[in-house]
Amino acid sequence: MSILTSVIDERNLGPELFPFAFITDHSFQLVEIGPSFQKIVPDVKLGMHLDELLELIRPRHKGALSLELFKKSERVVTLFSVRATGCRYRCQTVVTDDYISFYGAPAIEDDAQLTKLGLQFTDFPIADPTVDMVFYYCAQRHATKNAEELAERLDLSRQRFESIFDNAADAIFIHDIDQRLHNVNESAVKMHGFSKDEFVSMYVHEFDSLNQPASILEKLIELSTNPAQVDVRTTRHRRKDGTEFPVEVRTRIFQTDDKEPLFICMVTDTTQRVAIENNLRVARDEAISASKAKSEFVASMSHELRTPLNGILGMVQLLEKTELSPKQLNYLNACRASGQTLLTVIGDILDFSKIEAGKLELDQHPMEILSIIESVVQLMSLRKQNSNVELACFVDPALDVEVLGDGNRFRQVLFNVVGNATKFTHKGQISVIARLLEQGKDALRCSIEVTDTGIGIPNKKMADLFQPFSQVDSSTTRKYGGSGLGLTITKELVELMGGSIQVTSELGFGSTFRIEVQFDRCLGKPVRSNSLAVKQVAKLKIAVLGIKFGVAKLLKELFEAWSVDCVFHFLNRRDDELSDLASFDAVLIDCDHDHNKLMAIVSSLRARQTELELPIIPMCSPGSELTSLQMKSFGLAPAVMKPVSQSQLLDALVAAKHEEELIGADSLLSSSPLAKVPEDRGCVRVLLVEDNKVNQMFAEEIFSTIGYQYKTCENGKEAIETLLENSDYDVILMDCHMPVMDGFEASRKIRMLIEGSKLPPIPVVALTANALAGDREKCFEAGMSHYLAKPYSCESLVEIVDKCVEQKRSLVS
Amino acid sequence: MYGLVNQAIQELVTNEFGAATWNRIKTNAGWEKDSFVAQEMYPDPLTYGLVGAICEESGLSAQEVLYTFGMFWPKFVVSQGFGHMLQANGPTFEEFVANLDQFHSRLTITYPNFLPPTFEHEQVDEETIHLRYFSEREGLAPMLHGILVALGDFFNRNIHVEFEPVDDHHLFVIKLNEADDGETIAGGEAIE
Repeated sequence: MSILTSVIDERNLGPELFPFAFITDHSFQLVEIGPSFQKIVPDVKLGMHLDELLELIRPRHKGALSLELFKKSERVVTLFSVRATGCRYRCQTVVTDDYISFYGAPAIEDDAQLTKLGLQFTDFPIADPTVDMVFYYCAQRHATKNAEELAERLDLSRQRFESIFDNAADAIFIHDIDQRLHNVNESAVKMHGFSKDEFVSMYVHEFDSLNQPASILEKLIELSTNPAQVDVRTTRHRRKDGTEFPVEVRTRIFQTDDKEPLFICMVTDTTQRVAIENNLRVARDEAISASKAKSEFVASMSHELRTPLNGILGMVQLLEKTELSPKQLNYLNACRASGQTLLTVIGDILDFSKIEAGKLELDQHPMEILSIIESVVQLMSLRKQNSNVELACFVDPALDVEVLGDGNRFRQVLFNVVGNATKFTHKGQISVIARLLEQGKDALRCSIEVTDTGIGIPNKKMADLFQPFSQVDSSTTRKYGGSGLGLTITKELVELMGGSIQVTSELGFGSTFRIEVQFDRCLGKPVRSNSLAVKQVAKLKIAVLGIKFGVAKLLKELFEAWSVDCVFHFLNRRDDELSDLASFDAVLIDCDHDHNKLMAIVSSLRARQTELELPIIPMCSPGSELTSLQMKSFGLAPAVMKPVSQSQLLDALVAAKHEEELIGADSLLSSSPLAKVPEDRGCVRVLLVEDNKVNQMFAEEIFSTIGYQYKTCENGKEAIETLLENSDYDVILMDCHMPVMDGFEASRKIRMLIEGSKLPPIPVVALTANALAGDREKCFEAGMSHYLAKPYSCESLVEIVDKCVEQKRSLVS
Repeated sequence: MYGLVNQAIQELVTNEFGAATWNRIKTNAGWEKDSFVAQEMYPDPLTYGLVGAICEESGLSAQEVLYTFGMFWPKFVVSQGFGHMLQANGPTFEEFVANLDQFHSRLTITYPNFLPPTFEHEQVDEETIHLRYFSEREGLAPMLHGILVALGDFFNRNIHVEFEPVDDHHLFVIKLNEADDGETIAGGEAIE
C-alpha cells in the first residue's frame, strides 16, 4: 500500500478530498455518497439507481448504462446532468471488482450557480480548481464591466468634445508640429471662408499673415514638453477673399501619447475687442486729459488765491511795524496766523493737484541734510515753547555732508512729519533721529525717525493715513486743523526721493514715523561743514548734569561720534561729589530744572572751582527762566539753546576749550539780510513792474524801510519805456501776469535790447504766484535771471535784490 | 493594492462629498488620471495618500476614514457583482468570519501578486469569536473593524467588535448578539 493511500485511510480523508464523489455497485445502485454530493443532488438516498438521479451526457452511449462503458472511459471526463436541477457533474470513473466509483465535482459556470445550488467554498476541496475558476470568472466579468464603463465614458467624452468642437464660437484648428491642419470646426470655416476640405490640405502660415514658422516651431516644441502650458499670441488671419482680421490664438498640446503630437488652437476674432479697446483707450485719454485740466484749474485757482493772500500777509507785516495798541496787535496776530494757515492749505492743494497731474517734480541742488533737519527742529521747537513737550534731535555726524537734492521739498517733508508730532503731542518728548543707512560711491541713503509721545493713531485708521483728505477722524480736522493732504504729499515726495515712509503707533502712547530717502552725493564736496570743529573738540572730557534720559542717550551718541569723553550725572549730587568735576574740560548743564536747585548747584560748583575757571555751559529751552544777567553773574558761558544743534554745541565746546567768549544769540542777527547797514543799500536802484496795487504797496514799503531807490511801473510796456529813458537800475522785479504787456514778453524785449547794446545788462527777477513745475523754466526762457515765488517775505525779497546787486557789481568790476 | 480598492475609495468620496471634492483629493494625493482599473496593481503609497488627502479634506482622523471605508467595502463589492462570492463564503456571520482566511487565500490565484492579510479564527464560546488579523500593511486594522461591523449588518446580526494590537497582529474580539457603538478599545493605529 502506498503512503498516500495509507495516509488517506488513516485519516479517513476520502470524504474531505472527494466530497462530491459517489460509489455504485455494478448494477448502478448507490452504495456511498460524498458529503457535498447531497447538495447538488437533492433527495438522494443510498440504494437509488444512478439513472434515476443523473443523465449521462459523455461518453456517448445508446441504451442502458453498462459496466463496459465506464471501464472504457476511465481516462476521459465523464459528464452527467443532474436530472432534478440541470447542474452538470464532471467526474473520473474507476471500475473495480465490486464497485464503480465516480470522483468529481459540479461543473460550476458562474458564481450565481454556487448560491443557486446552496454551495459554499468549503464544500469544495482545497485542490479543486472549481472555486478558483469561479473567482477568476468573477474577476474577468468585473474587468469587462469596467472596460465597458470606460468605453462608455470615452464615447461620452468624444461626443462632448465633438459637440464643443462643432458649436464653439471660436475657430478651432488641430494641427501637427509642421502646422499642417488635421481638422477644423464649423466656426473656422465661417470665420475664414475656406471649406473644411480646403483647410485640411493647408498649413497655418498660409492664412496667418504674421506667422513666422521657425519661431512658432520653437514654441510648439516647448508646448509638447509641457502639456499644461498654453501659448497665447495675437496675430492676423487672412480670409479666403484676401481680407485680414485680428485674432488671438491660444495653443496647447492636444495629444501626448506616443503618436505624433497634435496641437489644438482656439482662435478668437478680436475685431470687436480691438475696437472696444481703442474706444476705451480714447475714453481713458480723455479722462486723463480732463483730470489734467482739473489739476490745471486747481493750480490756476491756487495762483489766483495766492496773489491776494500775498497782499494780505504783506500788509500785515507792514502793519506790525506801525504803532499798535495791544488789542490791535492781538487782532493782527490772529489775522497773520489765519493767513499763514490759508497759505499752507493752498500750498497743500497745489501740491496735491501737481501729484494728480503728474507734475510734481524735484529739483537737484546742493543741500545740507544736517542743517535742514536742525533748522526744521529748531523752528518747530518754538511751537512747543513753554509747553510740557521737549524736542530732541540727533543727526548722525556722518550726515554732515553736502548732497544733491531738493532741499525745499526735503524741508517740507520734515515740516509735515515733525509738525504733526508737535501738533498731536501735549506732554512728553518728540525726538528726531537721522541716521546714515548706506553710502555708495554716487548716492547715500538715510533714515529719519520722528517719535512722539502724543495721542497715537488707532489701528483701523493706519491704512488710510496716507490717503488724501484723510485724518484720523473728522473731529481731528476740527480740533487740529490741516487740509488732510499733508501725509499724502509727504508720501509722494518721499517716494520721489527714492524712499519710503512707514508708521507705527500705539493709541494713547505715541507714534513713530520712519522716513527713508536717498540723495545723490555732491561729488567734489566730501568735507563736512563741522569737520574742523569736530577735530578741535576730540578728546575733550565733558561732564553733563541733569539731562533727561532720552536726550542723554542721543547726546552720548553724538559725543562718541566726535570722540568726546562724557560722563552724565543727576542734579542731586552731594557737594563733595562735585569735586570730581575738576578733571573735566567743561560742564554742560541742563537749565530746565528747578531754578533754585540749579542755582545752588552752580554756586557750589563755582565756589569749589573758582581757581580752575571750569567752563560751565548752560543748555536752555527758549523762554528759560535763567536770565542772561544771572548767567553772567555766575560766570556761565552763553547758553546753548535746545533743541541742541550740532554746530551750536560744537561752537560752545570749542570756545570752552579755548576759554573764549561764545558768540551770543544777539550776534546771530547780524547775519540776517535785514540787519545790514542801510548805507550799503542807499545807492541800490530797483525797477518794480507790478500791476497789483496791494503788492506794489508791500514792495514799496520794504524798499523804503531798507533804503532802496525805486520806481514802479504798471506793466511791461511802461517798464521798457522807462528803461529806454533811464537804464540806471541795478535790478528789475518783474511780475509775470500783467495787462498791456506781460512779464514774459517784456523780459524777452529787455533781453533783445541788452543784446543789441541798447541797454546795459540788468538782472530781471520774476515775481509770480505760478508755482507749477516748468514755470521757473518758462521765466528763464523769457530772459529772466532769477525767480521769486509769491507770496514772498521781506527777507527773501531783500535777499534776492542784494544777490542781484552783488552779481551786477561783480560783473561791472 | 488592486485598483478595486482605489475605485471603492473614489466611490465613497464621490458619494459622500461630491465629484469636485474627489478631484481635489486625488490631485492632492498625486493622482492625475480620472479613474482606476480594478484588476491593475497600484502602489500602496497611492492608497495611503488618498486616505491622507481625505483626512485633510474632511478633518477626520485616518482611523475614522478607514473605519468608514471598511463599513463601505462589503456594500461596494456586492455592487460590483461579487455578492454571490460573499454568500458562497458562508451562509452565516460566524461561518463567513471562520472562512475569511480561506477566502483570501483563494484570491491569490485569481489576483497575481496579491498580498492578502491572514486570519486566525477561534470560536471562544457561543457568544465570542476571536479573530487574529495579520497584515504586511500597517494601520489598516480600523478598516477591518468597519468591515466586520458591516458584515454583521449584511448577515443581520447584532455584533460588537473591539480590537487591540497584540505582538505582530491585532486581536479582534467579536461579541455576538450585541450592538456595536463604533468604539475601539485601542483606537487602532495611525497610517500616516
